[in-house]
Amino acid sequence: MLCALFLSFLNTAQATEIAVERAALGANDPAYNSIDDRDRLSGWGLRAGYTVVPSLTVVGSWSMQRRGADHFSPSASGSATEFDGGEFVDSDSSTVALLGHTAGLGVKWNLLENPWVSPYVSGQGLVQVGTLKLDDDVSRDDNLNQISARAIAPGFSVVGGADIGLGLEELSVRPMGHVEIGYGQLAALDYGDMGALHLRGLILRAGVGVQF
Amino acid sequence: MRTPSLILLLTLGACGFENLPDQSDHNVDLPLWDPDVIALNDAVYVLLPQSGELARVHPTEGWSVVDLNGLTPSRLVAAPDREGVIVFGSYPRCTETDPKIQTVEDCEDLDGEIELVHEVALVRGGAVISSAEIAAHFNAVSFTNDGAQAALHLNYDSGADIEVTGVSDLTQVLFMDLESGAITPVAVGFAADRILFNADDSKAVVLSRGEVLVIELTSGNYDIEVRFPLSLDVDVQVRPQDVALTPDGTYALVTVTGDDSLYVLDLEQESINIVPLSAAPTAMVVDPVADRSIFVYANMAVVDILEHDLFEIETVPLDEPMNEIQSLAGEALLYSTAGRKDAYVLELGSADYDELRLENPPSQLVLSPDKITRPEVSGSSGLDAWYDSNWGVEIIDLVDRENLPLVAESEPLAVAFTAEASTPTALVLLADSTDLMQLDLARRTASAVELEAPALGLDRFGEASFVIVNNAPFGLLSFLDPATGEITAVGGFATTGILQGEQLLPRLAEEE
Repeated sequence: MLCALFLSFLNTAQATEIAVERAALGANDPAYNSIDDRDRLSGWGLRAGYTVVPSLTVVGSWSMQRRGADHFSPSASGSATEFDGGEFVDSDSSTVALLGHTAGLGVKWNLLENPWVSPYVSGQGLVQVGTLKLDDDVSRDDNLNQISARAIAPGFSVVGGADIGLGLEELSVRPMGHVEIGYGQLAALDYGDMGALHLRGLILRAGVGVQF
Repeated sequence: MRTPSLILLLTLGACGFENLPDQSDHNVDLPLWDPDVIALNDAVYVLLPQSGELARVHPTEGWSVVDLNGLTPSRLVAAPDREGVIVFGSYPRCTETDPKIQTVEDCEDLDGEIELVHEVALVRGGAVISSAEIAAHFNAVSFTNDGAQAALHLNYDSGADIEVTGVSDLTQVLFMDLESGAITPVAVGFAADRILFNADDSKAVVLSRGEVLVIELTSGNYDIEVRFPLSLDVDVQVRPQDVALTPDGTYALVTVTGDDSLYVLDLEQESINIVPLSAAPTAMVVDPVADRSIFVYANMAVVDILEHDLFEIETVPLDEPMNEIQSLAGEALLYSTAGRKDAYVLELGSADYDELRLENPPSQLVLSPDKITRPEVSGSSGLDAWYDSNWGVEIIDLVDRENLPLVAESEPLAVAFTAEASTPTALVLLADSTDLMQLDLARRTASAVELEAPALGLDRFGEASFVIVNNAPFGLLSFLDPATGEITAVGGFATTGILQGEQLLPRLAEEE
């Protein structure tokens, strides 16, 4: 009896949402300056949700980040270029890039069901796969110093946000958006002798999609 | 089918090196690596100034970071037997001892001050054998002939700023046992700047401001046996320019800056004899085979030969002044790096010489194991002018007294010789070139080996191999087996610490 009641409850609550989202995670670690002069790691991704009971949605997300920097250091050869009135030490140029994938799985609890704005809190467990790529001569495909290292780190995020609808409750497929803000933290992405990245801090996500 | 294609498309960016993102610029203050590498018998050691680390690079084992216990290395000196390297460096220490202090920032936040602790470490086989705290001003190392001991001292002429931490004792020399790493300080007089060892390493001769000391090394007490003041007038400052020991170790020969006198110190009788030279010499060499010393002068076309029994001078006139000497065991090769094209092979016993005329004035001369040499560059007319407008490599056959001038496409950076006696070969690195020139000295032919990147330097490695230092931002060394011509390149070591986080205090108070 209880089981039948629960199943019928599920039936009435079923809803699926899919959205494209922009996500950013705080990166105040000085080590991240080698990759990006901003203090956040951001990228595009997808979020999908499935409402299992009213107000409670299982959410999964994936986002991809591509950040990198041209890295300048005084030339190892010690060469210098002369100009009127002096000289400056030549620079060596290289590229340091982080190609990341973040996957998350968690729940979203809508505090208020409203066709226009529905606030919620959400928590997700995260897994970050970050590939560090370094290249000191991008003009050559066969450069020996093309270096790649991968690291995996678990983490979590806790956010508060709101689903934004257009009051189109009657449609079977409804456009919607979402914005959320909170805190996220990943364990260290350890790249051995090259160093480690400690990504943590403010999380910002916003997206648009559909619910059906 | 569409879903896997989409995932493939999205992840494609993480596979290759094409179109890496570069939305930002990042500048660092120091070079990622120092191309003045140290080639030991076990591996090549490379300073990484930006990350403050020391890399160990091996042709088959790849590269690794040497654990220096937080020491940031600033200078490397190889032991003469190439079995170890002496590492000078420092690490930050906080004046406060709060257990919360883990980083340099923590120290400053909690009103502490950062002080640099200077240390010297002996690294052998990729590991620290010993280390000791030293004063900041030690910047030079001299080794005993057997390579068993090193003497650390201040070289005021090195041009580096003398760093003083607290109160520094500039009269000290540190003797370091290179087997155990044990260090013994010895007070030797003000600003000792050169140290020599006699043939059996039983005595050290120390040059300091205005005096020369002899220290015995056999008892382990490092007692000062003799102290020679170079001037009896305290107002007269005598600055020794060069010093050498006679082959039997009995006499120390000291030349003085701007002075045409040679001070001959009898280390056994404890007496000084002053020998007048033709002028203030620019170079001095002691030849152990002929048991004679040779002196040349920048502005006087003569060479002085000093015999070591009665210390009498024989002056030999030349056509042009020479300022450099290479000892050839019984003979000497005289040449000039001041724009002269003459070179002389001087037989020291008879004082006879053969004169050679080079196509270009030499800038550098390197002796091969079988005494064939090489120099370069400058100007005149006609074909000579064309020669002079190009860099060159000139091979001098010291047996047949012939020279073979070769024109080089760019500045020769370094020369090394293969150990194969049957096919003597000179390896010549040219600036901005990815070719390593191989000169067959017997057949007088040249061939090229292609390198991964333009080279910056060349050194011997192990028994018969060579290491070529390539110009690559992330560091690149090419190991050459001259017998097969095979090159093994190892790169990427300068990426160490490229993700530089907060600066940790490497040795916290409780750990020290």
